[in-house]
Amino acid sequence: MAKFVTFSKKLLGVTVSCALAFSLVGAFSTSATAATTAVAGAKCVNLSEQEYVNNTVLICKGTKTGPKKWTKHFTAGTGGDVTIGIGSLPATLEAFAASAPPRSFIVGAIYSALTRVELSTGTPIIKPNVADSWSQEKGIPENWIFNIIQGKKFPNGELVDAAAVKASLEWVRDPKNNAGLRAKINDIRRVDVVSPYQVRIVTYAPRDLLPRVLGTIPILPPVAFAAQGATTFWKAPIATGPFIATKFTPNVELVLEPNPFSLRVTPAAKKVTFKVIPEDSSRMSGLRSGGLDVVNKVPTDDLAPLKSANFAIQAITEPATYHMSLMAKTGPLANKSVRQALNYAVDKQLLITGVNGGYGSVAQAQLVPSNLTGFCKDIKAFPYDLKKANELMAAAGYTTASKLNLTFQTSTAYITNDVLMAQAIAQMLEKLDAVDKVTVEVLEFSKFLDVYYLRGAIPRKDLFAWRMSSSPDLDAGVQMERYTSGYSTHNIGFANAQYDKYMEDALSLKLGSPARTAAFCGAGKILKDEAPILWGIHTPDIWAGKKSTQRFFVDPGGNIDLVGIGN
Amino acid sequence: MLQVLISRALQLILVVLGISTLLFLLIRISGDPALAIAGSDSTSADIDRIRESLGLNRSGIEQYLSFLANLATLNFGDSYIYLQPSMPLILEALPNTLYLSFVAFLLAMAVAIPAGIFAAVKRKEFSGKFIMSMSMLGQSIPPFVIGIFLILVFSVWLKLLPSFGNEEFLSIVMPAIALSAVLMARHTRLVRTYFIEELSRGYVRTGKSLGFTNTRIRFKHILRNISVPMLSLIGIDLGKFVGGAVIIEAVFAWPGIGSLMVNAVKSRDYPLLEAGVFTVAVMVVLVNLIVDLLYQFVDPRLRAKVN
Repeated sequence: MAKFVTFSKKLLGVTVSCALAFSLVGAFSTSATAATTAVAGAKCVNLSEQEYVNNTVLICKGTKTGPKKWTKHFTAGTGGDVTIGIGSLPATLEAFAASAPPRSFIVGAIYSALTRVELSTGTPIIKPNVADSWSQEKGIPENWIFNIIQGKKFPNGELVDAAAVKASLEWVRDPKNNAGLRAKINDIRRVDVVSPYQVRIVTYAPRDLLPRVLGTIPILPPVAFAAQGATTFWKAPIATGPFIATKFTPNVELVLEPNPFSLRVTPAAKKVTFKVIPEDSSRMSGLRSGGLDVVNKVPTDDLAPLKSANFAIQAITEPATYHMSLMAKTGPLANKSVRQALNYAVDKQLLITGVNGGYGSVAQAQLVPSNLTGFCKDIKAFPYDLKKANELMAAAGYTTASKLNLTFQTSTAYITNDVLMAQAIAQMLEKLDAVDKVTVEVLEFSKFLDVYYLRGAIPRKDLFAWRMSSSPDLDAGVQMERYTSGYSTHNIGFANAQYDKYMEDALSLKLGSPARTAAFCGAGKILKDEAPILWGIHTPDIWAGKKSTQRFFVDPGGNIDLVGIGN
Repeated sequence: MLQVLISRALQLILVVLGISTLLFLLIRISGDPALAIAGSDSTSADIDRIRESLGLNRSGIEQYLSFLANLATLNFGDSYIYLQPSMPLILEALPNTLYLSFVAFLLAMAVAIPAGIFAAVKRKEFSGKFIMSMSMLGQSIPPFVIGIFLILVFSVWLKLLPSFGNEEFLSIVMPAIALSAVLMARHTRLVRTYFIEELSRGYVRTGKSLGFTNTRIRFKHILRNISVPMLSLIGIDLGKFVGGAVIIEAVFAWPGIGSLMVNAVKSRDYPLLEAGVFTVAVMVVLVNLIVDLLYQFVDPRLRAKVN
């Protein structure tokens, strides 16, 4: 009997949910009509642009070639519920651990930083958030003044002010807190409270990118954070982002609802739910069965069926470079000509079309994508040229008779299509006259890391696949530093004194300055010539969603627009 | 009876201690969790700092002694990934796994026993042979394939059942069918075999000569006689069920301890893994204890022996 009662209750629940769903559909139809109202204001240029004005989301509408104008999106909170199926989500709601996806989905939704980095157009645009405005002090480029938004409070009543900014930044800077984001603001010398709504941030050296970096460091209510301690605070964060987390079950789901204390904007959707579904096929089935509105990490094999079933696809090129470290210390790859030959022997475009469904882009012979500060326009990718590759091999003394056997170590399920790409590259390299066989050694992720750090029993072999991610708030220095001879973990025996000198110069120069970029170019040219790397592609990050889901948009940083999305 | 219980409790302690020690050794020789936590872009200094904060820079003996001390108080420490005590995380997910396993088990038995009896009684007819073919098929197909097939038909094509999670009332249907399929098929075959054996026994002939109905002979006498060997097998199979549930939980994004443990393995989250394996080991031992006790209940000869 009790079971019957429970069943009846659940049945009633399902019925009520259906009724609610229908009413939401009704609400959506009304809001969609309202969304066509034009709003006067500044011109928009790019169709992916989005702006927040008076707590309303404006999106850029028009045609690709025709006139474009800012148009009101959903009225806040009328965008229905959205369910996003995601491969993985961090296990905590921590604010200071990292700034890349999927951590950034949480941080961007729940917290507010001093600035907001808008990436929708591809080029980072820095917009106000906790800070209304900012500037460098005249004549002292190391000093930055940030004016804080006034009259705003955290949900617990604490003021959003200069003291909150100082406390948050100081906590991240304190080495004993082990904050993952600490490296980003290592060069801050101190934070001074100038007035209740003004802070001065002093860096060790001039840093033009500071406002961009500070867009990744959330500002928290200092009293509550100190009283609760970090671990407790992350369980129910008090913050001023567009959403509050109303339910969070690690490894299962995160439910976000509009935050009445949001500083700048109220989201369109009434509720955004992230469902963690690690299994690719289950996630794709969830989308196709209608249980999910949007999914991420779409395998390239699923692209064609999803497209033919009329789902919307959002593919971005990750700010990450897939490449292979070549063993320059021993074996045939110790010869520079052989390393160059391997670069000529790989058809990077075919990796995109053949393995990645046409998504991604060819990496130039450098470690950062073109939109990152420090990218060198003069350094181009090695073209696919098998004849030249064979000539270089012959010049190095390797001919058909050599019957070279190479080993290619790769991860599995770490880099997009990693095993498939390794197999494809192995086949391409086997086309070289001197190469008899390329054995692909697939390593489980933890073993793979052991090999990278030389901590396990398996040594580094001829080719080792790696994915170098880039952060839009830093520059090429982070990546290029890894090939200096003193860097402990590249482990491939590459050393070049001239390269080291260029890098030493570059890293001592002002971040973002032309001189620093020029030094990176000098170092990059050596790196291309010495070729301790086989450069591959910038990997794709593919999302799919229902056509009916409004403002389903993923920016070039890999972040889905949670504020604008609605059903 | 008390003696049996005490003896079983001692066995339980030994088994759990043995499994936990084995697990302690295995997961530590499999690699360094600091690497998995630090991620791909970290430096050696980051990794060393993490090792120190987790106490992994202590000697193996020190780590083991501290592990044993924690085991005694069921405190496995905080999960490296979830930054929360491990045992409550496991206990939070456990009801979902138990619910799935229980429903799948009931479903398997509810189908296997009548189907097995039917196949035994009609063993020379098409219907009996058909059931055996189906059970062969059920045993041959891995549960995750059945799961994916069910999702395709009932979620993607027919849109009748939810394909992931456990929030809706009907969410249990497909995971339970997929998980129970192998057990269902295996036990159908076993019930049939045992039943056929019993049909040739003297007490069946005696019953018939005394004019008992077929129903009475089959369900009162034969079923009771085959329940003893069936119970032993059920005890073994229930232990395997948790292993099967890990995969099914992954396919259906069912939030049980299976998916939690898969994540723990991937990230070398020792405390969570130890708490999970400990819980599963206790469950398996307890199930076997219950099965042992049930023997006494269903078999009067064993009851007499104990008394």
